[in-house]
Amino acid sequence: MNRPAWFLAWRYVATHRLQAGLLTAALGLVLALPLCLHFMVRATQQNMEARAQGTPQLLGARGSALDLMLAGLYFKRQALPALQQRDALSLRQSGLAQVIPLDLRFHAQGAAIVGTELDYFAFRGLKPAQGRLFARLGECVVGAALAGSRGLKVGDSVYSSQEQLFDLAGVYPLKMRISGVLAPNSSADDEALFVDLKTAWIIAGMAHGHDDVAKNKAEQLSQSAKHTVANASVRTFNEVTPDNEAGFHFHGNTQDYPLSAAIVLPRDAKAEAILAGRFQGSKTQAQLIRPAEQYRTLISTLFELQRLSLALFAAILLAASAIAALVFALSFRLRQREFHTLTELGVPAAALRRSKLLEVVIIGLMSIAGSLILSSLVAVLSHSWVRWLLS
Amino acid sequence: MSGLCAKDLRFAHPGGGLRLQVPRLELAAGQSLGLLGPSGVGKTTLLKLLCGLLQAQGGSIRLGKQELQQLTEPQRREMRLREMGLIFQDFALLDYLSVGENILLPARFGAPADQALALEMAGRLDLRELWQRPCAQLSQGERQRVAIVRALAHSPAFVFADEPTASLDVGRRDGVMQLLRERVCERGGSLILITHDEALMRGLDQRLDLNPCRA
Repeated sequence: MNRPAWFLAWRYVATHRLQAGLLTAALGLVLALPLCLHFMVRATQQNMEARAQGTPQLLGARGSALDLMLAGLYFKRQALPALQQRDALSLRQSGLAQVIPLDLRFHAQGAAIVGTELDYFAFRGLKPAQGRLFARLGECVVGAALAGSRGLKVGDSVYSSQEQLFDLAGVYPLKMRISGVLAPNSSADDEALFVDLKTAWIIAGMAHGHDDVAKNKAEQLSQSAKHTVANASVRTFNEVTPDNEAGFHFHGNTQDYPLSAAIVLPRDAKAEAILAGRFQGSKTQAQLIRPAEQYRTLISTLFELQRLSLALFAAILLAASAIAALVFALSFRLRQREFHTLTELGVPAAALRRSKLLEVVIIGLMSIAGSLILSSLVAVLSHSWVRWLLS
Repeated sequence: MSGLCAKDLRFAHPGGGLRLQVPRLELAAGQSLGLLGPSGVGKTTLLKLLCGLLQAQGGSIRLGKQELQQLTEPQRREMRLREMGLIFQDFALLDYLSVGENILLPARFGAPADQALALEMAGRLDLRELWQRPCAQLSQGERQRVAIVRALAHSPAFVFADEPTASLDVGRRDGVMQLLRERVCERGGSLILITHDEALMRGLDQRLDLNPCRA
């Protein structure tokens, strides 16, 4: 007697597919929410943990330690207060640690431009899958995921983004040639574009190249033994080429140049403790953080939020189940004539009850299937979503 | 098949509505009976008593060799499913099923229906081309014909029909009556139907007038 009951239940659901679909979608979504949240939290944990654990210390300007960690490790867009190049250099000169500077102020095609040194690639174990690492001013290396999503390859060029549209004296886009594409390493590096620190300073306008005003009298307004004042017709180069590379020059003292952060790799545990003590309660403008500690604080907050959300989802699930029960009860009441007909024809009462129950089971199973599909999708995409959220 | 016999049948709706008394009603196997009377006199109630959809407060009903009053509700359901064909005034079709699914619905729950026979009868009532169509898309006349084929698909011994030709034109009415006689009376079954159609009544073996003035 199960087959005819299945038949009736299935035919009813199949005929009323729009109503059944809406109910299924609503229930499936409510069921999927806790699973999706679990996958997102797990992906966040996995994405952040390895990098946080693998970075002993991070130097930055005083401010939010969490912002410093998110920017320094995951290249999240944060308006960090500027650290001076001299702070990183003095730490390097102390001999206690290797220091890798990071300039994270600029972007290209929506991705972070990371101004750094070649040591960064060695530290993160990054190797080019195509081409080579940057070797000249104006060259860049692209992360695997970024290259894949934008269709970038060795030899192509990318422009840095104009950061302030109305600042005529500010940052101008620099055309950068791609010298290599990195092999994927399932981290924020996959989504970033790497340039030499000096190239980052060119983007920032602290270094530049232009026509030789000493030779071109038409561009001169005045000239003395020390200075030449040129007019606005002087061409500033927006690309570093072999022809104009030698003409690029820095203004001011490079030790005063800003950095966003610096990765600090202490020589040993003792050096690490000395450095931590040096910056603890220090009156300098810099701070030295342990990313692993910040990560633990962040993830424990995230787990608390997850627990709170799960309690809320349980309440929502209860309410949704009550509404679904009401929907079924109203539907069965509206279909009294149909059930009466089946009774009159001689269909056993048990088969009728089974048919009603099976309608609920079909909707329930479809909701569970829908929620599992949605959750699986989130599980698959969660890592890239988390990387995107962090970037 | 040995016909239908009802004795001293008494019925009153709860709340003091219609009162119905039938001292004796007999219908031999292979015979047809027409129930006559004005609206509200109790024709449909008597039909429902005879097929076991309503329980009489007194008297007895014998269908073939079965005493209907002695059967439990599940047994009466089983008897309706296997041995009776019911044609309701409102056709009682499931709109979300197709014509074919509606006709063979009793068979899914255990009625001994023959699909080939059902298809043949559907053909005679011009329903073959509509076999796959959902019943929600049918006209009244088509729905009535589907209800008739459903009632006959399992070759029941007793057919109870409430105004089975009310929505049909004269040509189709005669076709339906021909089919009912062939599939029920000529095979030794009993046909009990309610109709206001005098022409239809003339073709039946017996008639029972429930008009209180004439009863």
